[in-house]
Amino acid sequence: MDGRRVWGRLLWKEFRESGVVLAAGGLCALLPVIYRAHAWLLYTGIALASLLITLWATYRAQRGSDRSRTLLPIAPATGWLALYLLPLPVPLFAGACVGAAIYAFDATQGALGAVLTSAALFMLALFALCTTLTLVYSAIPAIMLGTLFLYAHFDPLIMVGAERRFLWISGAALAGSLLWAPFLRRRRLVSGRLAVGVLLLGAVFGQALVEHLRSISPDAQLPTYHPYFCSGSSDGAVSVGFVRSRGGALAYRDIRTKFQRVHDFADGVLPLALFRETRVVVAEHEPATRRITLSIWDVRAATVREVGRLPAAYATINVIEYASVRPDGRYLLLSTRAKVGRGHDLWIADLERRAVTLVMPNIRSVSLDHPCTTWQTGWTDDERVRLSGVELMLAVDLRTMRARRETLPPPPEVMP
Amino acid sequence: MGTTAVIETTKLTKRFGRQTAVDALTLMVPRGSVFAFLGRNGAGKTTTIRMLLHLLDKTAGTARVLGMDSVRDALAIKRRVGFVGDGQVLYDWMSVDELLWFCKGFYPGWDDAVAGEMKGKLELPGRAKVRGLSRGEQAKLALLLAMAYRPELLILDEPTAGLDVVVRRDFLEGVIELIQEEGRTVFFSSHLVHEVERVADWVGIIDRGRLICCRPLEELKARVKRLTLTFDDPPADLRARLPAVLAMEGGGRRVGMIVNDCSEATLAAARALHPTALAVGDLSLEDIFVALVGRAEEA
Repeated sequence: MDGRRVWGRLLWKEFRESGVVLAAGGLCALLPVIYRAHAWLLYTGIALASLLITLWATYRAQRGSDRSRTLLPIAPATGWLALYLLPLPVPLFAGACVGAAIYAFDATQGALGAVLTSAALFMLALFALCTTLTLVYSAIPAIMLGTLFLYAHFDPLIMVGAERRFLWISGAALAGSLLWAPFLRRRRLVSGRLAVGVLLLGAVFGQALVEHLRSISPDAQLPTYHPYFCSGSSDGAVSVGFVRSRGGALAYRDIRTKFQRVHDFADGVLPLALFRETRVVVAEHEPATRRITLSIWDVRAATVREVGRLPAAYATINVIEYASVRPDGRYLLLSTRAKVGRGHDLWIADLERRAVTLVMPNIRSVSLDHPCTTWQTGWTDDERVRLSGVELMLAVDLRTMRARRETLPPPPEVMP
Repeated sequence: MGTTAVIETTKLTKRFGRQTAVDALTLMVPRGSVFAFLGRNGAGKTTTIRMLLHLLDKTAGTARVLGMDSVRDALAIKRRVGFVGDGQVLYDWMSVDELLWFCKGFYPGWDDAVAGEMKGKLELPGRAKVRGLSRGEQAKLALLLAMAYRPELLILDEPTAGLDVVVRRDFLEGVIELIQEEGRTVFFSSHLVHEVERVADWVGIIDRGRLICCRPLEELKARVKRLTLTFDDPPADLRARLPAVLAMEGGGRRVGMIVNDCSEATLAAARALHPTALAVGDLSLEDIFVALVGRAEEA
């Protein structure tokens, strides 16, 4: 028999049936792009698209094991492949739409490709998880775990940047469905379900479980220490990072003196820079007012002092992309995603006067990498700060708070 | 059993946990026959058919369909066997023509002429959605799908269950017509015995997973008869004195007996009881079925 004809028919059936889901998934996800006035629209769009994929994957898997398919002269492997391969464009398309919405909404940082990939992999993981759960158990656990999975990754900030995790979950789901077949043949249904269940739960909740176990152990605090940045000493001995098991907690550690201190901030804190060994500039985000406040955490004195506030409102603290503090702690250079446009806004915060000034809006640069990763700051004695990157050179006069682009000197002429 | 058998099972067994659904079934279905596989609800008919098509794993025994192993050659069997089941799931969002086109892709032997001719005969509307068809029309469509690739063996599992009398008759007539035209083998499972009688030439009866009878219908009807004996003074142990009595009816001076083997020896044994009158009557397949299943239950 002509295999292409079989696949052609199956593909036709798939798209005749799932065309509506394809359109609805895309529309749900792109809803916030069409109407960008409220942040909740972004979340609603993501939730609706994800829910649609959950229900559709569950429904398909239920139908996939029905008698109409098994009566057709299709090899079991073909049936299995058809169950996973043919509908893949649907979750990937919905994921791409979700990614586009997140990107267009400025809800997270990152290049367009990275955001699209993360969201598409998220939908792929959701689809694979729900399909396998329906095959092995039934629709109800599939919908339940699919919803939990959605809840755990609902925030665009969590969704974007978790590609490897989503790939791992997708792989575990596929492995689970393969693992299921031998158990099914030998009618060892209970042990099979148990094995697949452990695999899937491990894939979805394994990381959270390990962190929880660590958090309840007596010496949990420092093992879960996650260094966010290292600064303040030439040997990198001083570091500040998040304590993963405690939301909003920051830990300071000096490995030379074995001094360590943890401070509880509210959720939405970001350590920005360290100066004078024990002072940390942090940014805190207040969801209610959508304002970002700058503070100095004096680690030795265990105090936190507010030193400024960004005048613009932001949905998330992750708009901050780059920060550098003058060694004496007087000024902070800060870059955020542009409020208007696709570039970066550059701010200077006078930490003594508590004044934050936008010195250059929407700095554009063309780079395959995130531009901020190549930036370097030079604080000069003449009250200037120079910011340079691969294709960028700026100088900010700290007295007038004016920035100007600097041009590179022409390249030396080379004799032929 | 030789090459003339299209279905051949040897000690085919299926157990669901502690319950035995099919118990060491040894069956032979001759080529070209219309084989009625009869049994009560839950007797094991559908389980047997599902094992033959490898829709269900067997626990023990062997099954060969069209000379091929039911497990190893399951795919080849599905390409050469037509199947119509009770409440068969069809893609109901497709139209009749779309479903025909879709199924055509899976069968190398699909014959458009046969499909078109049958569609006309069965009066199926090509553009109508499957979900919009009546149950009778859906059953006919399932038959069309099973016949369009000219299968060597047609397996019908309770195909008329849930249909009204008129549609059932219509469907069966369609089946008869097709069989007469093509001379194929049909394996027909049903618990509606009186309907099968019009179609079948071989009969297998299964009860609680065990095969209790398997022979040509004419032979069965020739052997299983009702003897009506009239006595002035009926003897006390009538049943014990006659061989192969399946069931007894009535009482007093006039006694009816259904015997499994109405041979000269049985008639001689009946005459030896000195009845004032002895009548031999034919039985319908339904009566025979009830007597055989009742006897199996007693045993």
